[in-house]
Parts: sequence; structure tokens; C-alpha cells
Amino acid sequence: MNEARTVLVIEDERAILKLLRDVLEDEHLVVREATTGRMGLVEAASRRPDLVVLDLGLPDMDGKDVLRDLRNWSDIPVLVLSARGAEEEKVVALDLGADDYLVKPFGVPELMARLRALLRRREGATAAKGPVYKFGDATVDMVTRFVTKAGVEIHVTPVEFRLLSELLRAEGRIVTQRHLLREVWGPGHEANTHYLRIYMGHLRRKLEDDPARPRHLLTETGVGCRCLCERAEEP
Amino acid sequence: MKAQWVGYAGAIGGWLIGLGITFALQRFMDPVHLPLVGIGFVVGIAALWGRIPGAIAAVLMTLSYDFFFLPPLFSFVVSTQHFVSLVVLLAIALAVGQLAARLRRQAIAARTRQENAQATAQLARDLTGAVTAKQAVEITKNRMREIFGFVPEISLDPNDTEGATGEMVLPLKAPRKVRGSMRLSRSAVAPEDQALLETFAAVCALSLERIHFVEVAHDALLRMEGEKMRSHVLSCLSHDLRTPLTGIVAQSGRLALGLSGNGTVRTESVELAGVADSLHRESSRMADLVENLLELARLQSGGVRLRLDWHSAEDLCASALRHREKFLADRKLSVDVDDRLALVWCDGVLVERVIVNLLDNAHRHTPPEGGLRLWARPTSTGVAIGLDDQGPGLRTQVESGETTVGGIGLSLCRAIARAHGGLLEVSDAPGGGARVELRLVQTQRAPEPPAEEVSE
Repeated sequence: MNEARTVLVIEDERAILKLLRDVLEDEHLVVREATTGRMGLVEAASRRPDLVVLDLGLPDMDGKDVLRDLRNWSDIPVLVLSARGAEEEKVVALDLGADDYLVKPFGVPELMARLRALLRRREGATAAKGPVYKFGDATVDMVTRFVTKAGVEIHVTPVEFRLLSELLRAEGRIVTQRHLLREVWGPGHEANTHYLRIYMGHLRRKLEDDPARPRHLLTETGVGCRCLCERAEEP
Repeated sequence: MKAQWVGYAGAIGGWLIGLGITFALQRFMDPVHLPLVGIGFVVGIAALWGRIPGAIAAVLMTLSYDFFFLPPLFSFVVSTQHFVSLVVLLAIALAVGQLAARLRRQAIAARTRQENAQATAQLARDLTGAVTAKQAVEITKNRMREIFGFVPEISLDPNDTEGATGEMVLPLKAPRKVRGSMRLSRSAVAPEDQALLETFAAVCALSLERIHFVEVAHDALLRMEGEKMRSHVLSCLSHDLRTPLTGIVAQSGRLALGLSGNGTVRTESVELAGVADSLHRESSRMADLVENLLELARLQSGGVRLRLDWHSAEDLCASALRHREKFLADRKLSVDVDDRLALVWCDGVLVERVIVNLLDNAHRHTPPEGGLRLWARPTSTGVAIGLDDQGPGLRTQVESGETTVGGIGLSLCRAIARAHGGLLEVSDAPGGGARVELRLVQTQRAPEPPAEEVSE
């Protein structure tokens, strides 16, 4: 499992590039660097990295265009770096197929947690997985639609289940609210964010220990929601 | 007045000349044809001097014909037959004279109209070149000196409409509003010039209004350019500040982790680990400070569009707490969101920022053992989200010289509250300590989601 995995970093700022290289090499990852979007695309095509870290503010082309081009032929996990306050940009990047984002300035633990989650998912994609997701002391069986918390069955409504399964399917990645609204309530409901707020509240009340301080069913204001969960291995 | 006397004198002079010619012609002509000369002179007099001289000449001509040329000569006595001829002659002379006079009046009126139109057009043409109100006023004054022979006083104050006695005040009325007034001595204005004066006032007002709107457009353009430049400077500044800060925060974090991680701290590096840790903490604080400053600058430079949406206060509190999880790990913290609270219509990212800043502020100003209580509840007009601490309270903060309680963090909170049309209130918390709350006005309630079909 620990054969050298490659991470391509597309970033124009030397300081950040150096930082990412240091952190990634601490984790025994092989780092490839590209300082422009075009170089990044060429590198991505020739090196076939396991993960791409992409800064949205590049000198030669918009990071979002790099992402769009990349997604035309590849499903490599992409972690996007963006400035604080640029929520709209993040949403666009996520809708274009970025897997997650990190806000500058970021902490090392945060960065590592995101990277590990993305790499793990990429490896896990090939392993056989069961239909059961777990988070905290809650379990969700996607086949039988059986939801439990601390071993007790919990009743969830069909809409609640649809929302939950959308979040679980992303396996910890953030899902934009537009996407959730479209998938759960159907096309034309993308603007009804209040549905999402209300139903996230219901799910938290049913499945979190303390709904006021949720650990798993999280809302990232202005961007979307995520559920930090694990997928049980096939027994 | 003078023109009238000239007319009368002309009438009499004309009549005398006509009479002389008639006497001269008397020898060669039958007396019946003699009045023709007189009628010719009446037409001439009327055409030259107008109706009244024409009429006078007609009467004189008729009487003198009777007196000098109809028998009995040198007497006004006439036979019945001649009387009828005389009446007809008088009628014809009057009628022809009046027609000629009317033609003359029309010709004069037409010329005046043409002159007025030309003067107005000239004024309008001159005014198109004016770029300031002062220039427009000067041009108007110059044209009026040429046309009317006097210079009015022009005021650009639209409320200045009171004239002294003997003064005439013409408002400079443009389509949108009165732009000023023109004041002139009543005695200098001939009655026939009144209409032209009013036209001049209107043309001048129109030009003033055009100049006003040109200035408005120019100002708007300048403001827009200014805003564009400010936002450009801000975004450059953001990038230039964030890049090194990201490096410092993350590298110091790495250092702190490397030195204290895995429980393998070497004894001599305990101190170093402490240094690295505080370096990391302080640089993170500085990064937050910079973010607050940038956001404050962005809000104060105007032109910030709020991204309003429905948010749940519980979500916003939870998300803010998650941002400050490690930072607040040593604090007793309770969250108290009222169950009756509906969704809040606000810019979620900014309101979350307010909560984060309230937490930071309380953390800084209260002793580590002091508990914090984050709460949200409905108010009569909307919603209040606040933080109570158990610190020294507000009064102490104010007394210790912190005139702007909370520094940049709370300034940003205030700016965000204002941008939402709400306010940030600082008061004493019920159990001692300070309470800072964000109050937002809510004008609508989120509609309920559609009911679910209960079929499972």
C-alpha cells in the first residue's frame, strides 16, 4: 500500500509551493510541481498523479478552467486551494468536479486530513465495500434503509433518507447545496436552501449526540454540507 | 410714443402732398377721377405708418375732396348724389388703408418672429459649448446684452424667487426642477419682449440642467473608477498578505507538530517546542487579524453585495464553533439555541464571521476559567445571536481605556451588522460579565418545505 504515491501541486507562489512540498514529503509522498495551469495539465497527463492540489489563482489561466480541462479526461482527486471569503468560487470549483477545498491560510493538520481522506478514498475505490456506512455510533444500511443510533433503530422519512444517502455517498467530501437540492428535491428546487437547512436540522436531531455541536453532519456555510463517515468493509 | 407722432405728421404731410398733386392734376382730369390720387396716398401712409395715420389720411382726403373739388367749391355742403359718392369714397379709402396697415403689421410680426427665433437658436447654439454653469450664465448674459440691450442678474439658487419692487423674476425652469432665476428691472422690458425673455430663460434652464446631469454622470464615473481601484488594491493586498501568512502559519505549525508530536520531545527542545507553539498561535492570530482587516476594508469601501440566503442559527453557531474548536478546547462553553427560532435570512458567511469574532473577543477578555454561553433567540423584530462571558464585564473594559471595545474584531462585527441593517449591542450579561449580541431584523419567514407523502 505504501508504494510511493505522487501528488501534483499546481501553484504559482514559491512560498506555498515549498510549504506543500515539505508537508507532502513529510508524509512520504512524491511531489511534482507546476507553476502554471498549462504546465499543470501537461504534468497531470504525463505523470498520472494520484492526487492534484490546485490553486485557483494562477497567473496564466483560471484555476477553474484547469479543473474543467482536467475533468474532461481524468477523475484524479483534486484538492482546491482558495482564499477565504471566495465562497462562490469554491462552489463553482466543486460543481466542476473538485473533490474538496482548503482555505488559505490553512493549518498543516487540516491539509493532511484532507489529503489523507482523498488518497484513502482513491485506494478504497477498488476494494470491495459493503452497503453499510458508519459515523459516530450511527449506522446506515443503504440496501435495507435501516438506520440505527447506539444500536436502536431510528425512523427517518424518505426525504431525510435521500439527503442522508447523498451525503454518505460522497464519503466525507463536501457536497454543494445546489447538488443536494437537485438530487433530493429535484430540478427546479436549487434555490430552496431553506429545505436543506430544515432537513439537516432533522437529521442532526436524530443522529448526532449534540445537535448544537455536530461531529459528523456538518454544514459549511455558503458552500454545502458533508458527512464525516466510514464505509464498512464487505464482511 | 415717438413713432405715433411721426405717423400723424406723416399722415398730414402725405395728405398735403396728395392735395397739391390733386390740384395740379385738376386741369387735365375729370373731377370724378381725382379721389384716386388721394386713395393712393392713403394706401402709402397706412403701409408706412399703420392703421391710425391711414384712417386720419382717409378722412382728411374725403373732406378736402368735398371742400375743394365738389360744387359748391370751398364749402362742405354737398348734394345728395355727391354725398353718396363721398360716403363710398370714405369707406373705400378706410378699407384699403386698413388692409395695407394689416399687411404691414404682419410683415413686421413675421420679421420679429424670425429675429426672435434666430436669437433663441443662437443662444441655444452658444450654450451647447458651455461645460460649467458659470459659463452658461455668462453666455446667456452676453446674448441678452446683444438682443435686449440690458444684462439681467442670474442666480443659480432655485429658491431665490423673491423680487424687489420694480423687479421682474423669471424662474429658470427645466423639465426636472427649477435651476435658478433671472432677475431684471421691469421698466427695461418692453411688453413685446416678454415672450422672448421667457424663451431665453427656458433655454438657459435647459442648458443648466444638462450641465448638472453631465456633472452627476462624471461624479458617478469617478466614484466607480475609485471603487474599482480600491477593490483592485484590496485584492492585491489580500493576495500579498495572505501568501506569506499562509507560509508562516503552516510552517510554524509544522515546526510545533514536529517538535512536540509523537510524544518524542527531546528534553532540550521542550523550550523550543514552546517557542514554535507560540509562534504558530500568534501567527494564526495575525492571519485572523489580517482577514478581519481585509473584510472590514471591503465592507467599508462600499459596493459589497450581501449573499442573502436562509440559514439556521444553529448551523452558523456550530460552524463558527468548529472553526474555533482547538482554540476553545480549554473553555467551558454552552450553546443555547432557542427551539422556536425560525431560519434567518442573512449572509451566512458574514454572520458566521461575527460569531467567530465574538468568540475570539470573549476568549481574549476573560480568564481561562470563565465559561462562555453562545445563544440565539427570536426577538420581536427578528433574531438575536449573542455571546455571554463571565469576564470582568463591559464597564471594566471601557474603564481600562479600551474606548473601542473589542478592536478590529468587533468593528468588523459592527460593519457586518450595519450591512444587514441590524446592529451590534454590547451590554452586561445577566450573571456578570459582558454580553455582545448581533440583532438582525427579519421581514419574512422561510416557507415550509412541502409535506412528505407518508408512504413507506
